[in-house]
Amino acid sequence: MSHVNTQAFSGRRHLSDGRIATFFIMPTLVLLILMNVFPLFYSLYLSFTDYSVIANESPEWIALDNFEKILTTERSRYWHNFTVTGQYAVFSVGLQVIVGFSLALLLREKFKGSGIITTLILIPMMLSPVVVGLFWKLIFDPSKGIFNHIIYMNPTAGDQWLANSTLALWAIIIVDVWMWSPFVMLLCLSGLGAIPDYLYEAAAIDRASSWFQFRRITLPQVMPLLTIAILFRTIEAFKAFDLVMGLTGGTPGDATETVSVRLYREAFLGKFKTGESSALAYVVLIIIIAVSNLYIRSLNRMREG
Amino acid sequence: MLKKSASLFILIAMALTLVGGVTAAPPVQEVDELVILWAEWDPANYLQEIGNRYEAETGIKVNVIQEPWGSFYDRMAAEWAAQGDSYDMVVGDSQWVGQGATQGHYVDLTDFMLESGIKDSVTPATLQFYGEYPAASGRYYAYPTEGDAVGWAYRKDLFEDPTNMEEFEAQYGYPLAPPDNWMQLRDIAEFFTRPDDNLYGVGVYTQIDYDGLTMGFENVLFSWGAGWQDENNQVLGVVNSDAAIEALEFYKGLYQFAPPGTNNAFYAEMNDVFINGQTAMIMNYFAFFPALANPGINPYADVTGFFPGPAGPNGDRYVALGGQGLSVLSYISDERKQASMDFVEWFASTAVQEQWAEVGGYTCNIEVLESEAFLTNTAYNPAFADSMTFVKDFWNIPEFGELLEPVQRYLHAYVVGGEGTAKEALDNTAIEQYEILVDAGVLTE
Amino acid sequence: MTIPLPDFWIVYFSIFWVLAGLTATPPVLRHKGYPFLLGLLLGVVVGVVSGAVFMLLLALAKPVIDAVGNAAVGTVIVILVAAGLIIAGLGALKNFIPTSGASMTVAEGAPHTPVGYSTRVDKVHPNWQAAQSIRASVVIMLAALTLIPVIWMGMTAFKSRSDAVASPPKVIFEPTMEGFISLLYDRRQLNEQQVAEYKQRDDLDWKDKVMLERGQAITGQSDYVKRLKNSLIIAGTSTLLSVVLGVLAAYAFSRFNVPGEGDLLFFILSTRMLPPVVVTIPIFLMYRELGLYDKYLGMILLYTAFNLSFSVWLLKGFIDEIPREYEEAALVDGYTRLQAFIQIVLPQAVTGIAATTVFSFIFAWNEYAFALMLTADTARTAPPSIPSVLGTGGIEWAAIAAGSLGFLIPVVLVTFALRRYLLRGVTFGAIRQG
Repeated sequence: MSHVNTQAFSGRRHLSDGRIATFFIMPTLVLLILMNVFPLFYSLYLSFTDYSVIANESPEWIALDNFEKILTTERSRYWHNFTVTGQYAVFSVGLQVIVGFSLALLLREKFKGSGIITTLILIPMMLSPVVVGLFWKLIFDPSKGIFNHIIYMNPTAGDQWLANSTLALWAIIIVDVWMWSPFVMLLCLSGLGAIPDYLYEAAAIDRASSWFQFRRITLPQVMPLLTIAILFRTIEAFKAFDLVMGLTGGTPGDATETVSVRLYREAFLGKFKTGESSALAYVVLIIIIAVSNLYIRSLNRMREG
Repeated sequence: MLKKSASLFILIAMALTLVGGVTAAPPVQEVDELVILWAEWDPANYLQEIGNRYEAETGIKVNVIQEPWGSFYDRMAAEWAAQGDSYDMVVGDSQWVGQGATQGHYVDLTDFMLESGIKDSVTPATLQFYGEYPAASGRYYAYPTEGDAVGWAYRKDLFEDPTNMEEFEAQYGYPLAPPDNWMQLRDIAEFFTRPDDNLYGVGVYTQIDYDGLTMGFENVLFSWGAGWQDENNQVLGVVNSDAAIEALEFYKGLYQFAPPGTNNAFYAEMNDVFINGQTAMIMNYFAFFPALANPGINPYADVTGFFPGPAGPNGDRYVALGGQGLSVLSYISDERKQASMDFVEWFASTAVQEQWAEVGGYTCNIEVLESEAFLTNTAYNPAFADSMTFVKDFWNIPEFGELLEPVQRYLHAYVVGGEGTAKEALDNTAIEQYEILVDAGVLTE
Repeated sequence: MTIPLPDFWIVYFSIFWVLAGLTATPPVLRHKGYPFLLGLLLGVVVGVVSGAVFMLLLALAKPVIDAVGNAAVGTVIVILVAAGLIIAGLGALKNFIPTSGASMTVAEGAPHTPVGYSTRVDKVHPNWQAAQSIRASVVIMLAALTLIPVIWMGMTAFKSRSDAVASPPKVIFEPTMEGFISLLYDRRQLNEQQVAEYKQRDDLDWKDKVMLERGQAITGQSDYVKRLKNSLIIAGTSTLLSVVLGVLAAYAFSRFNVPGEGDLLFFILSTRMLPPVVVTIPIFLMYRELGLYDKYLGMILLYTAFNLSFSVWLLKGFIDEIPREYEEAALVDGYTRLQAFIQIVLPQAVTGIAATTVFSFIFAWNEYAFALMLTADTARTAPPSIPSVLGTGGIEWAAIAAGSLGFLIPVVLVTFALRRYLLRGVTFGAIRQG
């Protein structure tokens, strides 16, 4: 096939790379735009208004009042919600990465039945978060649950995990780590599987330490997939709702009230402050965007550097 | 190229979402089905049974849609926001009446209730709390359908055990029996709290979602002679009055005798800690007592007794109201409104109310409530009929949800979290409620 | 049935060490020429001894626990320290086993790290095998620990109402099918006379009888099966769509120079950032207007969109790993782009596709908030209905557990079916090397 021929050919029958890119990306973009444009703009509009879905009156434009209230009013305690969410996100994602990565390292070499074991370890992730919240509430119950019976020598004198202001958040973190470490594990496992053996063999010949091997071979090779895992877990942690609602509902007081729970409380549960909750949602969105942007940038720099 | 077509698609998408709003109005047709929205629980099954009898009589199908309790209110609110006609009627919470009435979601039933004589067929207290808005205005928006209040269940075997009776009398100086007042209830709770035997005195509501804790605390608050507002709707100095502070301290005192794990507990958890034999007395809505009287569910069913809420230090006696009224939604066609009202009229007749009580519904019909058949039907019906004469409720103005939220938050932090004092909790609650009421125009600064 | 801590942890750790000992000692000892049985015996001894050491440490650590003040934190610290000590002790012990030169060709080159990644099975050192066995034992025991809540859920599915909330929790109980029947059938509460009346009837089957024991009568089929079917249709279709769309977009982003690639990718990611609580109402209003409310299509589109961000990002991550040289070689050989994509890239991205499928399916399968708001009856999926099995006056734990287990099976099946691809890893090492 001559060169000229190919060009002419691809013009008619074969798609050019640019076209293919467009055709491949378009369906995704169109669907996402269609599904998101109305909700996004509508709630953006509502965030500048005083509006309640249960009120039979149209939204009243109040410009930035909602945002001012969220960011400045001390008694509204929105900062408390952000702190709780931040703590929750950092600890639960951090622990998930540690546990998930360790599990992946343990599971990278296959042994008899490792496939089944891996599937079994994945089970917590497959459960519905609402049911998980409900059941762990029963499991954490100091008198009806098994958690204290496993952890303490004297279960009746054990902590009331969900009633204690400090422990309640840790209880949620424990459940989240239990549930989502397998997710990190599976992605790490895929990353580990992609590392060619010759890299280790070469390192062994160079008498490189295992720490060196881990830092220079294992970690960089797993990083791309681990990054995606961390990114998505962080986003999910900022949105944490089902689990928190099922386990504590934000209690005791508002000690475990994450932003999402607070949002729910403002937007539903009798209050129905649709305007204010939309504003809060946008503040959350901006924070998530900022955090993930910083994160992606530092990663890109790391990869290039 | 990509960019251009992307922006084009955005435009099309926006246009679509805007234009999509044009939908055809439903054609006028004969009503052959009535759809009623209610929460997912047994009484809704009973209503479906009654509805089936209506279909047999008139040929109009009655469909009771059951939505889980957790999302019942959200679903109704979404439907209101859309001004949708998916449901003809709703058996809505007593506190929704204000929203339904002022925002025009509910049909004004005043004339209908007066003309058909329904108004006088139910007890005045239930009509006032389930149907009337604003208070004492004589405007009605709902037919009291499922009466409910907070009552008490107790373990007769523990109360009637000779050793317990002897020890109790020696310790407190009066005989052990279902309490007449809150101080006795506290003594009994203290007496039965024996962590070494895994036995606890009392189960009380503490849940933070929606209204759980408030519905429990209210019983004490009202019985202490305090309330959520005075006659001028003032909250400052009312919510945080000395009596209210004392009541809150008392409620926290009761929580000390509650089984561990009931730190975020409502009706389901109350029944759980009773069924597993951990608790001597529990508070709960009457609607959840059938399970306790059922030996297949509750191993202690044979030795379970019931009593109505006790009196306060000055003899005031009130219990928190639960329950729902049947309202007609205003976004349906006139034909369907008429058909719905026909159903309400049929349902409200004494004959049908008798059936309603018989299948398990908590009727509000005066005649049925007083009838011998009702009082002897179950072990808890006498306590129920008694309670319905001294019920009291939280705010039912459209802002009730906002008013509820600070109560729930501060009280939970104090009662369960042990933060601060009762005075601080109620002071903060009063200030926040005051601000909400000023914003709403109920109070002037 | 109380299980105090020393008992549980000692049982747990003893099982672990017995397991580790059983699997690890035989290869080591056989290598040295001892019989297999001795290895087994030694394994048991190691297990018992380490259990005893653990108990001793725990007794000695009592002041530490008291000093920390918080019993939970103290216990965790002690467990970690004890486990660390035991592992260190074993590591020290390992050095006493003489190494034999013949099979150590590679390992001698790197004293710290015997190369375990070699495929030359016949030359693997017994130390490596022992380490492998211990590693496997750790994994098995961790999996067992992870599964305790799931097993507890499974047990609860067969408990009666009072057993499910018993205090202290019951490990041994009388199993009943009540939970499953409650899940699959609608029931109503009966009063005493009605129960007596019902008992007279002779058209009752075993299900009716079980429920009659609980004072309830079966009134008809529940919606569970129907909702399970809805879940299958919605989650299945949306997973398929999001994976197909995702793989196309991911390929384009990975291989072509798309203008504004970073921004587009970030836009795709950002669609997942807004908390669902806020968008449910706008989407509800939009869906009502478009007639998508309570429709399969509506839910499928929504879940596809919800999963797309994840699917695109994850698949791009996987496709980035595939060396471009392949396609370039194929293009030189006369393949078109599409052919190269279908015949070269797709087969190599199969791990990524499997992982994306599993995750997308799980997300769509368990989604709760949107399903609650945007469906009523015809398209309602199972998650919103399982926790609401709130029959007579309380949470029906057994029914919820039964429902969750039934709901778990399809996901486990999907994962299990795909596990071969899922765990294969991206295997280009050999070719990259060449």
